[in-house]
Amino acid sequence: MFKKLVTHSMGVCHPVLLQARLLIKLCVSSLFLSFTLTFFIVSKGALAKEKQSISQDLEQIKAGEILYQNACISCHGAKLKGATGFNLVDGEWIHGNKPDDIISNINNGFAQAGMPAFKGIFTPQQIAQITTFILAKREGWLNVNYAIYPATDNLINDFKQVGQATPMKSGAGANNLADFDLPENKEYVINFEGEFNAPWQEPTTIWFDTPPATKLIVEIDGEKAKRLPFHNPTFWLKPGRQHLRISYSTRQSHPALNKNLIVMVANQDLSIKLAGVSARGNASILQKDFVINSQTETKIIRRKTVKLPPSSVLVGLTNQFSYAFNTKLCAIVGVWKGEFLNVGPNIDGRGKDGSVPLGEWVFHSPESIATDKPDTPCHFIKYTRTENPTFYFTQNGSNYSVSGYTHPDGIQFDYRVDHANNALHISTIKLPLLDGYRFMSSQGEVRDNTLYLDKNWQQVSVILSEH
Amino acid sequence: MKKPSKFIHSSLIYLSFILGAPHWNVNGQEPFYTPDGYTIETLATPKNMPFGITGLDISQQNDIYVATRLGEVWILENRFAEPGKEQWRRFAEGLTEPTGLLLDDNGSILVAHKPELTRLVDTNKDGVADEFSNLANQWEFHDNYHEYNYGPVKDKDGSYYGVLNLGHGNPKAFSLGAMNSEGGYRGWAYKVSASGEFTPFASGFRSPAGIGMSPQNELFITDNQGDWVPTSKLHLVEQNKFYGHPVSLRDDPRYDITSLRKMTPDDFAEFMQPPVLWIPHIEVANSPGNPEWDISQGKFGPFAGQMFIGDYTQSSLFRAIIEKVNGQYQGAVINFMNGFQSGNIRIKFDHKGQLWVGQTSRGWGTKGEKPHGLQRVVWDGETLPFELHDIKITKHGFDLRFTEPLKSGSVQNDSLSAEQWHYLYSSNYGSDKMDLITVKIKALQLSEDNKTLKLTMPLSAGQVVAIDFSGIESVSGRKPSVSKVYYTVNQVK
Repeated sequence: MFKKLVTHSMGVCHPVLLQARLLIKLCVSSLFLSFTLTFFIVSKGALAKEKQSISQDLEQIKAGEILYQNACISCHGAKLKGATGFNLVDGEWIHGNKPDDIISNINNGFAQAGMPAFKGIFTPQQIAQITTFILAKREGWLNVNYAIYPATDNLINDFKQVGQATPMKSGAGANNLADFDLPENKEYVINFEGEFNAPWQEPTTIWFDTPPATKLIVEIDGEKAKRLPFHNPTFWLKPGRQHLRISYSTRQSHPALNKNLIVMVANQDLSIKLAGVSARGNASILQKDFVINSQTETKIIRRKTVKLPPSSVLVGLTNQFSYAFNTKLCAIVGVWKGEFLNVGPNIDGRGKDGSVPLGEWVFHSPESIATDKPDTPCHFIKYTRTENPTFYFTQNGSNYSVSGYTHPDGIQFDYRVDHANNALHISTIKLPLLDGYRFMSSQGEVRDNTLYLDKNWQQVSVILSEH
Repeated sequence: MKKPSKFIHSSLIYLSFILGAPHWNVNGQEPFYTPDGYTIETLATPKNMPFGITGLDISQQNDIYVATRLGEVWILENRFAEPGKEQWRRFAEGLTEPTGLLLDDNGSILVAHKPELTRLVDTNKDGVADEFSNLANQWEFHDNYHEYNYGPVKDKDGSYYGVLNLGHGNPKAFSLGAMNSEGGYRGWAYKVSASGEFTPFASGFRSPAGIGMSPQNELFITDNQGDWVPTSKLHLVEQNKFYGHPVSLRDDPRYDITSLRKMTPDDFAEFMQPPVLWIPHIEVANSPGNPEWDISQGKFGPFAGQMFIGDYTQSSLFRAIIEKVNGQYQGAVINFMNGFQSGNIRIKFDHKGQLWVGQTSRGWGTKGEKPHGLQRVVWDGETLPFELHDIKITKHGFDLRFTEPLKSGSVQNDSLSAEQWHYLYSSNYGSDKMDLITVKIKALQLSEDNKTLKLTMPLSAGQVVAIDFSGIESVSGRKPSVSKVYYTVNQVK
C-alpha cells in the first residue's frame, strides 16, 4: 500500500523543486504523513511543556540544512556522521545534547579542537536553525529508559502489565542506546521506552536480529507497530519523532540465542542499515577499531586477547613481530607477524570481547615456548622496559628472564639465568609446532620440538626464523 | 507552481506536529540537591582519550594520580590542577582495566588491575614507569569481563588489601543466581603482607567496587545490589568472615560445590556477617564506590571525620554516619550532593580540603551523561550548610543533630515522619522493601542548644528506618538540601 502512495504523490511535485532535494522528499512523505496527522496532534498535546527557543517548523530545518552545508560539512560530514568533528546524529553527546547546549557549542566553538566560534558569524536565528536541523537529523533514541523485570507468568502473558510491575533495575540508556546486554539474570522481561527520531525523507523500519518466534512487542505512540513480511521481526517506523517502546522476554527462548540483540533502523527493503537502536546494533554499524601499532616504538599491552590465555602480556616489536608472555605459565604463548593489535573490540561497553592481534599467527596457545619445568608452577616477578622489554620469573628456586628481540629473519628470545638453584635448574625448553618457520639456537640441541640445553647454561638465544 | 506550493505549505503544518517539541526530561524534573557553600568544579581530561577514571590518589604535594579503564596511569601535577590550566602527562600504559591506584610510601605506584596487583616504578627517573612488578596475582583471572580486582588499600602494619569481583555469563561456571565463580578466590578479599605473602582474607562479595581503610585502621568494603545482595551495603571486613554471596565459598576448604548447592539462604545467613548499613536502592545508590574519610580537619566544612561514598549510577555523593552499639558498627546513609557529569566511582580528599571525584560511564548506565571525567567538590570556607550532621540511636529512638540550631517553631509533630522495612536475603536479584510500615514518632524534643532533635519512637532490630525531616527549618530560615536519612538498626540499645 505504501508503494502506491509514493508513486501517486510523486506526480504532484514540480520538476523545478527537484533542485531542493529536501522538498522532493517532503512531497513523498507528506501524503504518508497526512494519515498520521490526528495521531500526532494527540501526541503533541500529551507532551510535557518544555522551555524551547527552537522552532520545529520544516522551513527552519531547511534553512538550517543550507547553513550546515555551507559551514559545517567539512568537519562534521555531509551525513553529519563526523570526520574531524564529532558525529552529530548518534546518541553520544560529549558536550551536551539539549538545544541550549548545542546552541552554546556552536556559538563558542572548541578552539583547541579546531572548531571556530560561530557567534558573530551567524545570527542567533541562524544558529537556532542549524540546531533545529541537527536535532531533526538525529537518528535513533533522543532519550531512552530501560526497565528489567523478573519473567513472571503474568508479565509474559500480558506485556501491558510492564507499566505496573516493579522493575529489578531501571535507568537511562547509556549513549541513548537500548542495551540488551544489561540484564544479568537468565530470565527476564526488558522494556525500553523513549522518544525516537527516524529519518523523515524516506520510509524506514526497525529491524531485530532475532528469530521470528521471539517474544517481542514493539509499540509506536502507544499502538502496536505494523510488522513487515520479513523473516526477522521488522516493523515500520513513523518518520520523524515518535514514542517507541520495545519489550522483550527471554522466557522460552533457545539457550543458544544471543540475547544481546542487534536492533537497527533500516531502509524499507533492509538493504541499508542506517543507525543503531540497540548498543550491539550501534557497535556493528560503527565497527570501531582502535589499532595500536608498534612500528616506531615497542609497545607492551595487557588485554584480553583472542586466542591467547588470560594473564598474557603482549609485546609489539618494531619489525612487525609481536609476542605474548603469560604471567601464570611463564611461557611465550603466541607470536604473530603484522601490525600489533586492535583493542577496539575490548575497550567499549563492558569489554567482553577480546582484542585482535593483526596479521598472521606464527603460533598461539596451546602451543608455546616454555621452560620445561617439573610440576611446581612458576611465579612471575616483574617486567621491565628500560631497554628491551624483559620478563623475570622464578621456577623451582631459580630466577630466569626472557626478552624478545627483533632479528633480521624473525624474532629472537634470549633466556638468561639470574640465579640458579642447581639441583632443579631447567634443562630443556619446549618449542611449539611451527609452519613456515624454523628454530635456531645459540647452544644446545633441538630434537622433537625440544631444545636440550647445555649443562650449567647461563643464557641461550632461541630464534624463530622465516628462512 | 501553485498546486505544489499549497501542498508543501500544508505539509509544513503536518511536519511541525510530527516533529513536536523536544522532550528532554522523560521522567520529569530531576531533583538536584547541593548543601550551601559547596560547588562542583570540572577539570578537563586529555583530549580524544578514553579517560574513565577508576583509580585515584593524591600525593602530599597535591599531585593527582589517576588510573584509567583503558589501562593507563596519568598525572595532573598540583600546579596544573586548576580548571583552565590542565596539563596531563602519562606515566604508564598497558594495564588491564585497573580499578584502583595507591601511591605507596616509597614513591612507587600500586595499581590493582584484573590479572594482578602491580607496582609501577620509574627506575631511571625519566617520568615514565619502566618496572612493572607483581605484588600479587595468586587468584585466578579467567578473562571474564566482570572479574575486576579492586584496591589496594594499606593498613598501619604495611599490609595491602584488595577484593575480587565475581564473574558473569559463563554457563559452565558455578552459579547460585546471576553471578558465578570459576574458582581462584573470586568474591574474596585478599591481604598481601609487607613481605609479599598472599592470604585469602574474607569471602562473600559480589561486585565490591569500593574498598577503603579508615583513619582508625579498619577495612570497609561496599558491595553492589544484585543476586544475594538485597540492596547495596557497607561492610566492616575482618579476617576469615563471610559476607553473604555464597559462590565464593567454593574456595573455602570447608565447602564444595555439591554441598553449597544443597544449602539454603537460611543456612548461609547463619554465619554471614550483617552489613554495617544498608544503602537503599536508587534513593541513595545503585553502585557505590570507595568509602573515603574527611581528614581535612575542617577545610571541607562541618563534616570532619565523616565517611563519604560516591555512587556511579546516580552520579552523586552520599555520607555514611556510623556508631558502635554493643561493640558493633551500625549507622545511617544520607545523600550529600548530585548532578555530577558522569559516574562517581572513585573519590579522594586532597590536602587542601577538596574532594576529588574520578568518573566513568561505560557498560553500565549513569545519570551523568558524560563518558568520563574528573570533578572536585569545594567548600567555600565560610558558609555553614544547614544539614543533618549526625544521627545516633538511643534507648528511646534517635537523636538527630544538625549543623545549625533549629527554629523551635518549625519542630511540629508533622515536621518529621518515619517508616521502616527490612530486606530479604536470597538468590534473587535485589529485594523489595519488605513489611514496609509507617512508624509513629511519639515525641520530639529539642536540646538546649536547639541543634539536637530527640525522637521518641518504637525501634526494632533488623529494620532500616527512614526518617524524613523535610518540615524543619533552621534559625536562619533555611531548609536542609537533603531531608531524608536511612538508619540500619542492626541492634537496639
